[in-house]
Parts: sequence; structure tokens; C-alpha cells
Amino acid sequence: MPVYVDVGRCVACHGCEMACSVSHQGRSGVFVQVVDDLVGVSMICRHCQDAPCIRVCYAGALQQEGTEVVLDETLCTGCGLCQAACPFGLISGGTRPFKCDLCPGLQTPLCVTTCPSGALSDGPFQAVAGHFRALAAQKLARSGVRR
Amino acid sequence: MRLPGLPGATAAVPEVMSVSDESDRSMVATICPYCACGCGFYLEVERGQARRIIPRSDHPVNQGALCPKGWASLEMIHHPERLKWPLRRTADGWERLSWQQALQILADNLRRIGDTRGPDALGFLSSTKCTNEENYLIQKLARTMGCANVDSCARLCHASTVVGLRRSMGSCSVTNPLSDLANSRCILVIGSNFAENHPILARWVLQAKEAGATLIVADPRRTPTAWLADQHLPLRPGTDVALLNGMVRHILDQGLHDRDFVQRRTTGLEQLRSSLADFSLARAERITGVSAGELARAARAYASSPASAVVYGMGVTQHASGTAGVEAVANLALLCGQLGRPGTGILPMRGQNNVQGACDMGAMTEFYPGYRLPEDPRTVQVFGAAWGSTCLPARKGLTSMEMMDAALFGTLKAMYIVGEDPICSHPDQSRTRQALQSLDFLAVQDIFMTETAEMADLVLPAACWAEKEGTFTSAERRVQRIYRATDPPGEAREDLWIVSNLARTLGLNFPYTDASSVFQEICRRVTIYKGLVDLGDFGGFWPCLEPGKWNEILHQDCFPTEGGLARFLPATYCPSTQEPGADYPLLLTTGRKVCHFNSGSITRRTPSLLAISDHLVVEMNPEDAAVLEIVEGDRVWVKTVQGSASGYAHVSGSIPAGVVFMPFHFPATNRLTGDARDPISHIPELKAWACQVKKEV
Repeated sequence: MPVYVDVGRCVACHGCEMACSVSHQGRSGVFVQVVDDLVGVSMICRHCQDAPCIRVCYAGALQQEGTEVVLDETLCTGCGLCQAACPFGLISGGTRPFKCDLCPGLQTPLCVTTCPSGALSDGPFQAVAGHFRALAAQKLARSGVRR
Repeated sequence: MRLPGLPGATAAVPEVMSVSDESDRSMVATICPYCACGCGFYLEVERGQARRIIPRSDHPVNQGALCPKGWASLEMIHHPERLKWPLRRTADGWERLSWQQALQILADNLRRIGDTRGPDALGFLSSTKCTNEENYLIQKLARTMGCANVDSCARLCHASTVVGLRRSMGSCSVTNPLSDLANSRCILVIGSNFAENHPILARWVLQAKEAGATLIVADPRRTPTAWLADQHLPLRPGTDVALLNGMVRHILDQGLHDRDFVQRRTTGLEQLRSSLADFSLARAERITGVSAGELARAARAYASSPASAVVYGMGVTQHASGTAGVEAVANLALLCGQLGRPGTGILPMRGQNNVQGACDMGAMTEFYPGYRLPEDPRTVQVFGAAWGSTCLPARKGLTSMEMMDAALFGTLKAMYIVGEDPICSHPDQSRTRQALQSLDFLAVQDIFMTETAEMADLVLPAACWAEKEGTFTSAERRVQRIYRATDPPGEAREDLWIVSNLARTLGLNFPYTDASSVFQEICRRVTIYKGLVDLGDFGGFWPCLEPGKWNEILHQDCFPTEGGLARFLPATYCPSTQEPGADYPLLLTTGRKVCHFNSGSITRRTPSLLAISDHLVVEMNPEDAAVLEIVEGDRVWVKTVQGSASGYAHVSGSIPAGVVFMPFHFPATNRLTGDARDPISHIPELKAWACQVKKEV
């Protein structure tokens, strides 16, 4: 299950990038793109269900495991095809590719827990959608309350 | 290995701050050494090396979150450029000394100059990065030598808060805990870019917003903080007092104020009212550039919400009228009765991890520990008896700004600077440099060879936060313990060890063995810390008179003033002396960026932060850039009457036309700022300087 970003909450502090890189030997799978000097967008592997990176990997280094796309570095040949195939540009590292591994061993990926503004969340699609739905409903409800 | 607040932890281990397992690893609880939020994390230490940071999910301030600077704090600990030995300047370069030699040289020089020129020829700068215990000892050292000239970098950030809030409501700190912002229904942020500088605040502010609160951000720039706002008021730099006065006048005119609160708990409303006689919204609009309609909307939102809080930062304080700015904030909160309840309050966002503590400990020349006034005869009596000293100064000495003046005049002859880099952080760099050059003797104690240390006669290597014990007081008045995780590099020593041994070399009575023996004395001598004997896992708040009993929210029933009432203080708007003109057509404002910190002496040595931002940017509006034929990334020169500096252009719609922004984390920026200062608090004007920008050819 990928990590979701609520761009309305992101303050572009780069905390997620730093946390990821500190916990992954200096390589980060998160990229905070700041658009128009205004909107921070944390770009993190979508763990696509029909992943282009898996389709192009002739070495079988990228595999679908449940809801995750997993990279096995021992099988990787460093050909770079996955990096070209990713529609979001979220596999980095050139001949030593690296992507979000959702922090194995942790209940919640570190980027999610470290985000000061709470802009990142993880969980099943339905749970995340439900959360945003509840927020939107609250907003609508408030607009209907006479002050 | 089980510790509270670790991801996946199953059982809480009370009172355990350091746990080791078989693999020679240990986890040491500590507090982030960067800003004043006071976030908690563990340092994982393996064979004497700090290896990893693990944010504490059970910490009430950060709940497991951490900003990039917090993560990068690991990189300063084992940095190759750390100072490792005492050094003396010689004709052939730096000479390595033993501690005994170094302390003797320092003591001899302080004694020689103190004896021949009098103690007023000495100046001490204490460090807001040091612990409470160390600040207490540094100011004690100065004062027991009879020297009143002891100050810290609080002068540069919130001196106007300390002076202004004390005058209006008797206390000079954040009134409500940071997390209490989540209970607000309206948050007015003025001159604070917390999203970059105190990112953890965004957590609480967004919780409030999610529950329906209105967020109003007044800032000349469209900062990441403004991105979160419901309403952004892009005022001209240096017009905060006019903005607040306009809002206060509108609230009075419309009768939106809290009459009951004003009547029961304040004095001076009529003086305030008459001082604002000519401050119509239309005038505020002309001065600030924010429309009267927007000002009225913000004023109504703040005044009429059931719980409104004001967050302010250096956009308010770092002006030649900084004290008036702070008093204007206080007027607004008092008038609307937005104090003393959950979700209300005034939150001056402090910069350094222990700047609140340094002020509490008397590392400001206006105050002895616990904000006791030197002019009060009881102060000198109490501390004289406690310290066994008969020569304590019964007066305010020189502020750090005045110390530079006195050095230039030749009346200040020696300085002992602990953990501060005035060359980078003080305004008008060439003047600061001249001032420090004209001293007979300069000693600098730091963890790196800073720009100021480069000028010193004697450099002493200090331990960083992870290498010592003690307490830090965060912006929300939370006093928390830190624990020693690793050993300092080479022969570097804790500031507490250095200052105590220096004092003993000088023959002074410093009977302290460790941080806890100093803290015990602090609890005895500083009334607001009296009950903080047991700090537990997450510290305690001051004022605390009995163990375990404190009010997280100040001013619930009365103000700590004589009579218990707060005062309205007319805040006079003074137009900036720095109006852009023909020669200098743009207005320079300085500030901070998320991946750097203050003078940059640490963050400019931190590779992972430099990877995100490694050069001085000059932010300017596309309109101004087009006229000057400047495009993104061009090398540009910025010039003011004080000097010139070069940086790389960042052309951005986030900054209004006519304004240029430069962060002060790089030494060049303060070549441009000048020596205007607030007459009451002596805080320098760092936010509005007329400048010109040219493309480098």
C-alpha cells in the first residue's frame, strides 16, 4: 500500500526525504517537489498494481508481493530500464536503483511518522479514501451550520 | 530492548532513559538541539558512536515526528571539523595548548584587564545552545567578577518580547503550550514562518484547521506558512505595528472587544483608545498595503472566535520598533480577552533550543536569574549571599549590541564568547569585525571554528548537546533533561566543566561537580523553577512552585504584575528609516530557510542539508528581475549603504515586487544590514533595509 500525500498539509520541509535517507544508507525514496514555490508534493513510489517497472525488468528483480512492488537488489543488473519506465520518476540511483520499500520492520513507514504536519498517510485505499471523505464531509457540514 | 515511544514498543519502561542490550548498543533519550520546540528523540549509540535517531512517538510535543534539521543533528556529533583541542593564536598560526595552559591564559587576561580597566571592560556572551546549568554558571561567572556585561543571542531574536511582554503582562514567554494550538478556533500568525522554522507547529495548527479554525497569516512573503492559511495578509516589511494598530482600532470601533475581560483584568484602555485616534483602517491600508476590507475581516475573525491565539516571530521583533510590535500584539490579545484559556494566548516562537532557558537563567543583562531586576536591592542581597560575593553589580550592563559599540570606543577590552557567532549573526558585519578586532583579548568557546572563532586569541573546544547532561527549556516553558550519549571529540569538554574550572582558576567559589548539582541550586534560587526537582520523562513547565504542580496555561486568573492587572501600552508606529529611494530602490528583508539554522555554523557543515540547499539565494519578484534582466540562478550583487554581498537569484512570485529576501544563514547577508536598533530592547533592525540588486557581469 503506497504512501499518500495531502498537498494541502505539506509544508515542503523535506523531513520525509531526510528520514528516508537516514534510514536507507543515504538514499531516499521520497522526493519533495516544490511546485511554483508554493505547493509541496511528496513523490513516493505508488506501488502500482500493474507496474511498468516490473514489466520492463527482464531480470525479475522487481516483483509484485501482495500490494507492494519489491526490488531485489541481488537480482538487479543495473540496466536502468525501470527508471525510464516509472511514470513518476520514483526509481533513482542509476546503476544501483533504489525505490520506496515501505520500511520493512516498521509498522508505519518512517516518512509517514516523521511528517511534522501530518501530510502523509498510509493504509489500504479504502481507509485513505474514507479519511479524506470524512474531512470533506466535516467541511461541508460546517458550511451548512448557521453561525 | 524496549523503550517507551519506539515504533513497535509494547511495554512502557518508566523512568528509564538509557537501556543497553548485549550488542553494546544503548538508547539515550535527548531533546533536539535545533529550534525551541523541544522535540524528543532517542540517540542509538553503538561502541561510543551515535548511529541513529529514533523520534519518540510518545513525546507530547512531536509525537514521533521530526523535521529535516532534527534528523540531520546526528551529523554534527562526529563531524571531522569539530574543535578538539584548546588553541592559541600565534604569529605562525594556531598553537595547541593543554587545558591547564588555556584556562590560565584566559583567567590571566580576564583578571589583568578586569584589574587594570575595571570589570566593565569585560564582556561575556552566553550561549542559548548551552544548557540552563551552563547559562546559570556563565552569568554567575561574569557577575561574581563584578561585571554586568553579560548577554546572549536572545538580544537578536526576542529581546523585544522579553521587554515588551513583561511591561504589558508581567511575564515574557509563550502563554500556552504549542500543542494547545490544536484547540484554537482562530490563529493569527504574524511575522512567523513556522512551517519552515518550527515545522512541528504545523501539526497542531492543521489539527485546529481541520476542526474548523481560521488561519490568518500576515507576512510580506507567500511562505509555506501562508500556503496553509485561509487568509494571507501580505503587508509591507516593517509595518506590523500599523497592521496591528489598525486591527485594534477597528475592534474598538466595532465594539468587538471583550468588555468584561478588559474591565476586570486590564488597565489603560483609554490611553490606548486615544493613542489610536488617527489610526483608521484606511490609514493602516495606506501604510501596510493590505486592504481595509481584509484587515477588518481578520480583526473580526480574531476578536469574535471563542478561542483565538497569536503566533508571532522575528517579523515582529527584529525591528527598530520591535518592542512596540510586541506591545501591539499584547494589546490585541488583551482587548479581545484571548488569554488564559485553552486555544488562546500569545506564542512568541523562540529560535534556539534553549533561548527561553538562557533568559530564565539571567543570561540577559537586564535580569538576574528568574527575571530579578539588578536594580532591586533584594536581588543583589539574595544572590550575594548565595554566591558568597560582595561585588555583584546592582545595575544593568551592556547588551551584546552595546558591547560592540564599547569595543569600538575602546572601553570594552576583552570578550569571552560562548557558543555564538556574532560575525554572522550581528548586523553590520564590517562594524562587528572592527569591534572584535579592537579588543585586547578575545576568547571563543564553540564546537566549530566559526567566523568569530577565526578572529579569537584563544579558542576553546566545547562539547555538543549529545555529549553532556543538563536541562533545556523549550519555547513552551517545558524544562526537559538531556543525557550524555557519546564522549566529546579529542579534548573538547562540556561548557559546564570549562566555566567551572575557569572560575576556580580565577579563585572564585564554584563548588559544582555536575549538572545536577547546578540544577539543584537553580531550583533553590530561581523561584519559577522551585518545584521542578523531578523532571520525569517529558519535563515540567515553569512557573512551578511545588513539585508536579504547574499551569501549562498562564494568566488564567491574574497577571504576574503588581495588582495582577495587565496594561495596555500605546504602540507607536514609526515608519522605517529605510524607505527605498533612487539609489536603493528595493527593500531587503532577511529570514530563514527550512534546511538551515541561524548563523549556519552547524548546518553549513551538514552534508545532507547542504544537499538540499548549499548556497545563498537572493529571492526577488519576476517584475523586479525582468527590469534588471536577471533570470533564475544568475549570480547577483546586493548592495546597501552598509556593504555588498553576492548570491544566486531565485526569481519567485512568492515575494512581492519591490522586496528582496535573503536568508541570514550565510555570512554574506549581515554585511548588508546596518546598525539601527530598538531604543528599549536594543534588538537590531534586520527586516527592512533599502538595497539595490545588480546582475554580476
